[in-house]
Amino acid sequence: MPLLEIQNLQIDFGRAPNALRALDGVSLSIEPGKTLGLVGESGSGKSVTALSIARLLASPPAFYPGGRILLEGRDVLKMKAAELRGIRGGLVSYVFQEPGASLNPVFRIGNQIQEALKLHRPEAATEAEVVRLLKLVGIPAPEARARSYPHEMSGGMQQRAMIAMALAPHPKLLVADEPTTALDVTIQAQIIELLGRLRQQLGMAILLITHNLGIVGDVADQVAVMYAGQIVETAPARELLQRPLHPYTRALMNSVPGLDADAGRLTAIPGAVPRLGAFPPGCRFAPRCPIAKAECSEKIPELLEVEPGRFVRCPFWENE
Amino acid sequence: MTRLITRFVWSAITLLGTAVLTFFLLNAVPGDVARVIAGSKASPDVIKEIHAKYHLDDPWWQRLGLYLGQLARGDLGHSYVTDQPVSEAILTRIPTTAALASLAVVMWVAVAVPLGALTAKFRGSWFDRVTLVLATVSLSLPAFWLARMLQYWLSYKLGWFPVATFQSFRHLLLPAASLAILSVGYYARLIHTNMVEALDSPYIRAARAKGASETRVLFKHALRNALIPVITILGMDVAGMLGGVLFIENVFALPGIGTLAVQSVFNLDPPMIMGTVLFTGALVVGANWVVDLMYGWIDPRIKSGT
Amino acid sequence: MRLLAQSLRHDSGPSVSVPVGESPTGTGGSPVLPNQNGARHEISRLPDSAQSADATSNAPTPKRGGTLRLALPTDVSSLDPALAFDTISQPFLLLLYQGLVEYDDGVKLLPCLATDWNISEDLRIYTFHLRPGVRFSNGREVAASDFVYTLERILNPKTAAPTESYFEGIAGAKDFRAGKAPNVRGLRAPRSDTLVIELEEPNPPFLYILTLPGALVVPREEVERFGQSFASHPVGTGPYRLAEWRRGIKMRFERNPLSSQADRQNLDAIEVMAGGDSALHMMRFERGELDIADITANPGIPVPDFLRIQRDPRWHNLIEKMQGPLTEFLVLNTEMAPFDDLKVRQAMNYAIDKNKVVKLLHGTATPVNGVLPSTMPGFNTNLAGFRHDPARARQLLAASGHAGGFSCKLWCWNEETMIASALQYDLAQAGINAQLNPVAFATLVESTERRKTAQCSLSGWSQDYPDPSDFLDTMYNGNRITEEGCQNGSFYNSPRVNKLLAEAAACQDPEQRLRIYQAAEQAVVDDAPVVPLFQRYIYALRQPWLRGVRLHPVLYFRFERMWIER
Repeated sequence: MPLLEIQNLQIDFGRAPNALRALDGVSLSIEPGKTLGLVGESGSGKSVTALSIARLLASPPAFYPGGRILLEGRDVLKMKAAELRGIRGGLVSYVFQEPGASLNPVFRIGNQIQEALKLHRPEAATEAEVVRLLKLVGIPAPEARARSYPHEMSGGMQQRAMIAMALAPHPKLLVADEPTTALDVTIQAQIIELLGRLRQQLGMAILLITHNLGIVGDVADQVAVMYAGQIVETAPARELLQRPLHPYTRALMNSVPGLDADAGRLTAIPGAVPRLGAFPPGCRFAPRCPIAKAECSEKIPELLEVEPGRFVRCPFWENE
Repeated sequence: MTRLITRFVWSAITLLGTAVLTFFLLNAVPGDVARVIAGSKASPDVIKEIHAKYHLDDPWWQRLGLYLGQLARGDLGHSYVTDQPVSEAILTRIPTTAALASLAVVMWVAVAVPLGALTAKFRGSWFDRVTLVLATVSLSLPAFWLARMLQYWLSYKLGWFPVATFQSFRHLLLPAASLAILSVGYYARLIHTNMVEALDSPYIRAARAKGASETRVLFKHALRNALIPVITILGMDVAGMLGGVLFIENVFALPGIGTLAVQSVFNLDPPMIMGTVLFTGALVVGANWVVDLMYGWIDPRIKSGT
Repeated sequence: MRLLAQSLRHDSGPSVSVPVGESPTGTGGSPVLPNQNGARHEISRLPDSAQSADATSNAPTPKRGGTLRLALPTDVSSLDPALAFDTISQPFLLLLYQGLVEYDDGVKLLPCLATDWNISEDLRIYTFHLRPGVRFSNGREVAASDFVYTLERILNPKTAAPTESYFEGIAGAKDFRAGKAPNVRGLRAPRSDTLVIELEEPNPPFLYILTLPGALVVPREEVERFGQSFASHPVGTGPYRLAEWRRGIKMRFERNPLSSQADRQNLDAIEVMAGGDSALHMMRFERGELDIADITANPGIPVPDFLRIQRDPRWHNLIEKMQGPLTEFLVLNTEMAPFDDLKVRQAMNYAIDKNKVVKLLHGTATPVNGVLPSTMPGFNTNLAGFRHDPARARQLLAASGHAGGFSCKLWCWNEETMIASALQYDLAQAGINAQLNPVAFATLVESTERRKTAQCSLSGWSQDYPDPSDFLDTMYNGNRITEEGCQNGSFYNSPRVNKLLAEAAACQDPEQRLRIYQAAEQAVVDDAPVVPLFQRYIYALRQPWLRGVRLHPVLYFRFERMWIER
């Protein structure tokens, strides 16, 4: 049984008749111990998807007109408050984009990690465990660091601390929402490397949200690409990176500068991501798609399983 | 270190300025303290004797110099009317004022914190709106009127509280409540605003993601941040509080600094007036000091002033 | 001056007059001389003072016990009898201290620390025999030398006693004050139980002067020990001693174990809390927190509450009432135009409707035609005064060249603006434009006592002791005019009246003396340097369990005579 299974999730912001549909029938699944990379530009709905897993979206304004989110077979959308608190941290933990802002500035790091322990593993809520966790994420001088305040640490350290805090309750799924976007490139690599190492050491599943295709290849087993509230392509990581099938994925790949590429102009994707409520009819990428046909704008294409485990939302996927 | 010294110097200058300004104001007020001491039927000779005794006929710069010299020696002088040492009078009154103010602060914090926190949580609800209206009303109430109304209705008409004076803890309840009502609206809104800001912060979402209950999120994570500016404002609000204390003490005839100050003005008693003014000035200056020092301790993001 | 800050008057001249028993109604009455050998007088009661149910002829037996709870707007400033000067401290001083003589329930004098006394033929030498076995609260027995010390202390310029001028008539006082003599010649203690006081000139009211706080006996060693702070560490012979005094907050008196006057020690303790105005005290009283609503006797029930209390079945039987020994009047400065013109002054008198003012006060006062209050011996019920006649007023104004009226500045205490406004209105009907100038009390006193400063002012005078000279000589004797501190506020100087006053002062026949004073009063009223207005009642509102509350015409309250019965 998959650890996480999102089935046809629909999320609206606001109520009818002014509702804006942010997620329109999103489905994905993660097996225990596996890593899924969720890729897309800002505004694609990837963060919304991630946050919805533990129902962290404020409701109002978020509403769930359809779909299910199954964690170990239980529907998160139907859980009562107490059960929800149990899975938050206990089953699924989060690492956020801006670690400095996501740590409470008035409490020491050790205190905040202990809080995570107290909530789910009270028998292990000791200073020793805090130190062990800090060591695990590669923070030097962990005893001293436990007594630091967030603002006394660098961005990289903060993120490591955040990861330690996320790991403390031994979750089965770690949702990392753009964990490296706010960090330096060199630190980015370190964090991604850490995540990879932890994945192996702890056998935990990871949902890695990012707009950066580059980092996905190192850690993910599977990759899903989102555009305008829909999944447009899903594939095993290596497959997707070597042979992207959806026009959007291809465009994304082309816009990533490689180290060995010519120092020519970057190929940007013309146009912009459509805003919520202003989605075009039919295929949402059609206005920007180089191979778009007239019929693309008539009807939203289905997600086709073109190979076992490979899905594409484009009937013209074979065209180059 | 230099910062500390500069602060000290400025505080001293502030107090000195207060003393001098009060001295001049006092001189501008018509009325002769000798009359108060001697009574309306005393002969001009007696008045002259009193003038001589207290140097009331000396030129102003001599009298000011005399007073400042005394002050430098730490001597606040003696009341012209009762002959009681001013410092003794003030010291005996401090406990009452302190008790009143502390009880009031406890009362209003106990109400403002939950109100501010809950109205932030339930932003826009009718609860929030009603609280906003009540808060605005409480801010606008004149202190004297509120105190008298409460005294009239709750003590005099209904007999729930003693009418006046300070003879037991019960006697402090209504005065402290009056003082608290004056401030609770302001602080509830202040906490509300700060809580709203705190609740919108990313660390709140992270706390929820850890599985923290809403209560914990509200009262541990958000409140701790929201209270930082509130505590500093509380410290600086000492001056404003003293104004309310003055009215409340007088309405309820409590033996505190407020009644001492008013009495000394009616008596045209210069040393006592100067003494109470300087004391309250020192209190305000001191409170600002404390706030400054505390700031670094409350908010870990600020390194305390060096 | 005004009751609130009533002090003792400044009297720099001797007056030879004989104290008489009160005769508040009719002329003369039956004067009683202080018996030459000081035997007891009859206790007489003042008519016109309504007594509440408990002060009837079947006097109830006092019970011992209980604490009397009182309140004052401001703390007593001093408990040093040489320095304390106002109505408010007087009853408290009498808890602690005693003098040679004291008042009975009325205005007659009784022996107190003196058992009897002799007055010499020429009325100058008083010989007092002292009561044996009286002790100060520090244990020491009182001797005649203590009285000598007490009176010398008053006369000593260093003490700056407000009442020292009353005692200047003692032989040798002036030399002592000027530093020319180490002692006062006229104060002698030939034996420890005999005190002799010699006066420069005869002064029949002198015994009254011995009831003033300045003459209450104090022990030298304690005064010297405490110095300035003797004011808060009283040591006297009175029935109570000061147990606690938190300045500006609370005073507590407890029984003096060394006093032998058990009948004046019914109460265990008397507590006075300072702070709050009369409205607050009324609230506290009605809630049972105080035993007497208002001990400032000004007037004792706040005017706004008066009607309500009168009508309230709970309280209306508990109101003590007494004609106040004071009158209020509008002073016209005869040295400032247009009040230098008799016709104008008369016009002022005709213009004002006293009955209306009294109505404004809800009947807590009665109108008066003259300058003496009805409680004063020599009060003349047949005195011819001015009726309310605005037409006559206008006629007189026209005759004096003020046909179109005139403007003047009316000074008043800022708490009496209501009365002043009523006067202003009446004057306006006669074409007189009076501009109100409400000021603080001290300012009022200063300005009205300075020459050529206040054109007209709303003022009053309360008795220091029951003798017409207290009012007439102080306020209408032209020989007493000074540039500053002058209590002759109208600066009135009539040779005829001056002569009458001098005659009265020299007169030895008590009845004749009163008649001369009555003639003087009529002359003054005719000359209209003032517009007499009204005489207030003094009230005391007590709790049902407080007994023995009877207002005294001079002292108002005597707490040591009260008791609590629940």
